[in-house]
Amino acid sequence: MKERRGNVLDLFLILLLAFSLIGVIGRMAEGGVSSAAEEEALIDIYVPATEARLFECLEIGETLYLGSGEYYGVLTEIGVFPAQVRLEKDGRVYLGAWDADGPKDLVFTVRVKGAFRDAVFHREGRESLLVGDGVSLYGTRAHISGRVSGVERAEKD
Amino acid sequence: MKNGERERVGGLNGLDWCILLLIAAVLVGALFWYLFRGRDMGEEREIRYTVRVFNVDTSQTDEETLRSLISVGSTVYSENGTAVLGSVETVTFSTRRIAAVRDGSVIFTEDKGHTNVDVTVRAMANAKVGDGLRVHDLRIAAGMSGGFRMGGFCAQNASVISVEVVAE
Repeated sequence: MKERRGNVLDLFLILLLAFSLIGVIGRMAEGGVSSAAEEEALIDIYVPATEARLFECLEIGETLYLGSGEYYGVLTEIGVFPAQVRLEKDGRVYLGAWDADGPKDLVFTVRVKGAFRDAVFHREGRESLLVGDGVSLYGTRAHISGRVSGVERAEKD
Repeated sequence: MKNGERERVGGLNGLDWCILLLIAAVLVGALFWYLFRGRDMGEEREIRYTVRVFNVDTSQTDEETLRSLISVGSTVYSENGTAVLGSVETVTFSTRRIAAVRDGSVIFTEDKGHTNVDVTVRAMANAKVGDGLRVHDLRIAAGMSGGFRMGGFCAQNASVISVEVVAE
C-alpha cells in the first residue's frame, strides 16, 4: 500500500493556519479586541494663555487624533476662561487675569475609550492617562497641546 | 499501470496550484488593505489661515516698512524656503500688551515699542481624514508654530492662530 505523505500544499496550509492563530492571539494580547467591559473617560486638557481663536477652529463632536493619525477620542466640551497672570515684585506675588481682548486659558474635554485598572485609566487598554501628562492632539483645523488636568469616568449614553 | 507510464507519487496537480494561487492572491490583497486602510488620497481644498508674528520691534522696522516687506500677493514659503505655503491676502497689526504690577495690582498696558503682525494667507491644501490640512506636506493647524518666509520678511517663530476652509 502506498504510504501517504504530506505535500507542499499541506505544509503551506498548516503554516497559514498557525500564523493566523498567532496573529489572533497577538491582537488579543495587544488589547485590540474590544470587550464588552470597555469603558469611557472624560479627559480634561488644559491649554494656558493661548489665542482665543484656537477654540473657534474646533467643533463639539469632532474626532481628535494623535500626530501619527491614530484615533484618540471625541471632543465633548470647550471651556474658555480669562488667562491668569502671576507676577512677582519685591518678593510679593500678584495675581490677575486678562480682559476679554487678552489671551485665554482653554480646557478641552475629550471622551476617550479605554479601561480603568486600579483607579488608573488606560486609553484603549494601553498607556495610562494621569493628571499632569502632556498631550498633543489634532483636529481637522487645530492642534491642541496641553496637560491633562482631570480624568473622570464617563456616564454611559 | 501500463508499461511506459510513470507512477505519479506526491507533487502538485493543477487543482493544487489553483488553490495556492488563490490563497496567495487573498494574502497579498489583505496585506495591501491592512497597510493602506483608512488612507484616502485626500481632497483639494482652498483654505485661509492667519499667521501671527509676535513681538516685532517697531523701533527697528516700522509698520510701513513691514507692509512693504510683506506685500499683498507675495508668496509665503516654509522657513527653509523649499515649500510654497500660499500667498499673502492681508496684513494687519495688533497692539501688544504686557502685564505689570502698579500700585499693588496687576494692570495691562500697551507695549509701544513692539507690535504683533497678523498675516492672512490663502493656499490650496490637501485634506485627509485623520491627517488634517496639509499644504505641500506641511500640516497647517491653529495652535501650531514654526518658521515662515513671507515676501521679504522671515519669521522664525510665528504661530498659526486660525484656519478656515474657504471652498471645497
